[in-house]
Amino acid sequence: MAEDPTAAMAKECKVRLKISDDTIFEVEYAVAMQSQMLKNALSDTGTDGTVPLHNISSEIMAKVVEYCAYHVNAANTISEKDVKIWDQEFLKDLDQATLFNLIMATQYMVIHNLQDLICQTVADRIKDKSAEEVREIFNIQNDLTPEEEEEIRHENQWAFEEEGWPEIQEEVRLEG
Amino acid sequence: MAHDWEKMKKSNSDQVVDNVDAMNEIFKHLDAHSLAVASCVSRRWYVAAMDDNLWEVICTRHWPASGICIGRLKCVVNVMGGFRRLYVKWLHPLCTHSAASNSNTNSKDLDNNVVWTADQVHLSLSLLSVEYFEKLGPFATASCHGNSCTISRPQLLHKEQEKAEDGHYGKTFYKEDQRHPNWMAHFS
Repeated sequence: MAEDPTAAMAKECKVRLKISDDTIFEVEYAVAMQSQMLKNALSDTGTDGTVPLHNISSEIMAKVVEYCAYHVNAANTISEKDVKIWDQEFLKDLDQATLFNLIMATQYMVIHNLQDLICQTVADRIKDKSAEEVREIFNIQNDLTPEEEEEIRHENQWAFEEEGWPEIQEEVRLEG
Repeated sequence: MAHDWEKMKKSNSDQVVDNVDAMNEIFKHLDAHSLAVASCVSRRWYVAAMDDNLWEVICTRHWPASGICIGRLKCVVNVMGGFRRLYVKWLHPLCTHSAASNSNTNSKDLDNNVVWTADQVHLSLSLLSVEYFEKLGPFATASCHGNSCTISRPQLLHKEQEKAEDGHYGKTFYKEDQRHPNWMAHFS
């Protein structure tokens, strides 16, 4: 049975990615195609050269490749339930800095499924928390003046009331 | 607010929590209540959480069953104050009341469990438009989110009708069929 030429290329072709510390990552073509950005870049230049990814570290690149490689293989062979279990394991020991770096990397490389997974994980840490708790978790400086903070809280009073038809304030105009 | 968004995007940080684009991606996964909390965290989070595209998703994710064509509606809702206003001012309290009278659902659960009925959506849209037209002065140019639009015909009709009823004109100036109840036709 003749092999599909695209599948053959996917198995044999390697794509070279040069990252921030000049390390070269060699990944299979099919794995690289998980990134929309690489897909576009390689369709223009072909697979012979090296694609520079200067703003991604080797630790993050390793994680991205691990995820994409698994999902390429899992595509038609592993049940959705098992893929989800793998995804949770993948996320398990990632610290916040790694999660954030993965968000930036997946935004840059345009890898939607990994970006959604990480963003959902971060969003879950925001849910059911107060603003002060969120600031502590993410180590965010509160740069709102007391007046601005009061206005915004009042604007969002509806979210904390069980019933009633609250007033909606005009949007706070923030300068700077 | 469009000005703040663009300004903050231009000064986007490498830090995710200060990067408006990145926060916007994360906020797409939040319910309305959490989005409201997020907007209280910092200036950049406020700007990111106020993106009306996020609120469009929150409003419309429960609409499919109600058969409303969202594409046509979007420009109209944007002119009348946006999806956040629609949600906060009308959809949320309307459906909170309905849910509260049926069960012990609180507002946080509401975001995840509710499916709006067609009647609730239509009523919310009607109330949004009534509120909007009440604010228009005669022959005023409406300005929302940096876009300008002139809504002269409906308000003119309304004002002229008022004048006619006050006896300003010798006879009733407008026939019944010219008092168009469907405001959406003006924008199609």
